[in-house]
Amino acid sequence: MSILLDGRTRVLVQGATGGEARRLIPTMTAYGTRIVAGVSPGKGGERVEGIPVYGSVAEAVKEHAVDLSLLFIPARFAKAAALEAIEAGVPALHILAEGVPHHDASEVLTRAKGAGAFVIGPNSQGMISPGKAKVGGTGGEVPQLMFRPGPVGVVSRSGGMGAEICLFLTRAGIGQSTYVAIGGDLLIGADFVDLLALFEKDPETRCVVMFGEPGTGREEEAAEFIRSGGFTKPLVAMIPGEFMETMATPAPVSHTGALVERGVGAPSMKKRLLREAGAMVAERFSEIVPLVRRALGGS
Amino acid sequence: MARLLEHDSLDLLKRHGLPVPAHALASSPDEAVSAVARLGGRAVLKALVPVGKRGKEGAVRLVASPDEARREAARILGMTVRNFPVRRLLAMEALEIKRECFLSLTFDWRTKSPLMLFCAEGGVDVEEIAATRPDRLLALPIGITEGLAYPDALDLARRAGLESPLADEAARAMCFLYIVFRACDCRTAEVNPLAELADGRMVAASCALEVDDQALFRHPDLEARLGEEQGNGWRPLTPLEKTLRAIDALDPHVGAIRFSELEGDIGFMVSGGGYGLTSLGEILREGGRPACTFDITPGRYEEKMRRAVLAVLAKPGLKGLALAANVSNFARVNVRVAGIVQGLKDAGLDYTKFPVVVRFAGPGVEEARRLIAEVPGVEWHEADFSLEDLCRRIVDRAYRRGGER
Repeated sequence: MSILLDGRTRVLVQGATGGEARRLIPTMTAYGTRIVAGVSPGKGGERVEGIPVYGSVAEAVKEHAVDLSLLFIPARFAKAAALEAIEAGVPALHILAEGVPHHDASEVLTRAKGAGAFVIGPNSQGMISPGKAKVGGTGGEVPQLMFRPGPVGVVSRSGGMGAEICLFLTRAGIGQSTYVAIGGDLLIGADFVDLLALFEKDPETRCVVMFGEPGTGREEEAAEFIRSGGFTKPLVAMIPGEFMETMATPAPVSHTGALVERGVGAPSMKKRLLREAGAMVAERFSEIVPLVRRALGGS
Repeated sequence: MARLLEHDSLDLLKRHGLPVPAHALASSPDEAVSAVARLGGRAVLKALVPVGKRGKEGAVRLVASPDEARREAARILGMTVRNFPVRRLLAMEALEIKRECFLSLTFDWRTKSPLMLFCAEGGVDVEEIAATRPDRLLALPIGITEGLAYPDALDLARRAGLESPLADEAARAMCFLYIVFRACDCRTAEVNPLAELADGRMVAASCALEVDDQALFRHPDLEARLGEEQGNGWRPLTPLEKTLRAIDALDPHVGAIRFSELEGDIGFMVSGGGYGLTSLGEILREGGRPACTFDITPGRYEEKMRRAVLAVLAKPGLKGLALAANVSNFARVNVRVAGIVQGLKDAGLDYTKFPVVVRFAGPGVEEARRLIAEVPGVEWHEADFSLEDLCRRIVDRAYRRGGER
């Protein structure tokens, strides 16, 4: 098993005729991703790598059942494309674009919530269920070099560090059930808590590695979720950036930031709360693999 | 985040309907004297810098005579406020303020929606009020698809303790500020104080707008107002940072560069947001003193990389250079390494003596390895070399720790 994505997930690609999509579609299908259709405004009737392209999401979903829409859409057009998918009733969206305006992200995430659509991203590098399917750039052309099937769920706010963690797990012979880059922006869809809830229900996942970052209260919420019994499997967490807390802090630009966060967001606090909730916290990158080994029972 | 200077923020509020005090700019004591005269002989002089808490630094003064205006203008123009030298002043009509309120808008990561904050006691110590009497600071989440409805704004003002007609004035200000927040793609829009005047009107007596960098493409007018005065968010740009900005501007379509200069002596060009941050913590733990942070987004950026390496190597007193990134999925690492190799060659240093440690992994690694071999002495590593290995190695070699290995 895996979460969110496997070889049966029917994927729609928005922006299918663009350069990046044309380059990545073959690597996804070769790995096992079931891409059922593409969308590009004004390009209906074309085919990309044998995949039928439609002029709109509404036309595509009339012909194909779709579980997930993958948006290869530049940041400035991401809102329009995402709203189109939500309106067409697509149940899950994966937004890759980096640099989506915050006002656009807020609108997309609000509309998605109203429609009951699950959103990953924006600013997500992709996701992969090793040995089954992958979406986005994750894994590149030879995913086997970085990923292998196994019992560890991986979720990261940083796409680069998520990939790096999977690389070192794989090199140590430890495989992954699903790896999701949730995106590094302030406003994103699926959060640590959403992913932990899914990993909890996945029988194949025996342990989860979570990579956080300074700012927001996502890691604090994950700690609270564990305390409340929502996630009971072993969790290995790393949150870099504690050194910033002792650096001369730049002058605050306004009162608002301090008032909204009120102390939430500091890595030291996130790590303390996660530890108190029973998570294993890696202070250094090299501790992750041994902690995962321990969580899996010294195998 | 891009913070607009106060006069630009005030102009935007005014243009969208929120009353602001009369104001003028001055870049010399003489100009300040005539600005104060135009404002009625009494005015507040404020340092025009892109940082907050100017009052506590003594960079805000009420002046009531031409002599006082000249003296205080000269003094403030000679100041450096939180790293920013004061080049211009904002002269603002002196107001008779009966009450100060705090009003702001920002995004809440939890609800993914705009959040309005309001406190009927504003001013410089609003954080203290929030800490000691948190019930005084009210928060109103706003559905971005519905917008802010006037009755909700009025309700917020009343719950904060204001009575009509003042509550109506405050509610109007809230609605106008929300319009500015949306129209200008703000990350934060803060009015502090929102001042009640003797005649019962409310005006935005001071204001800070932070514009979303990710939305500047649709606000060329705002981008033009930002300019270099911004600095890097907490101090003005250094010459090296200006050089890197110029390199980045060569081609806005490939490989956006983020660069900050630090005070250390190890060139630290380790990119990937999370990878860079984790490595920065690690090199500090190893006792290293990084001279910069550097990030570049994927693209055909050989030339930018070449110039960036050359610029960083020109920093005086540098003891070593680390170049790395997290494992790449698609972007071919040989593109980056080609730029690095050219930059190293152009700098013409003896790399058997000046330590350079490089780590890349991902597609194109074989070609990258061949390219690096063209520069004798450069130390090359791949996937099995962790960010901890990298940081330890460059610190060992740069400071000749534990002898040469």
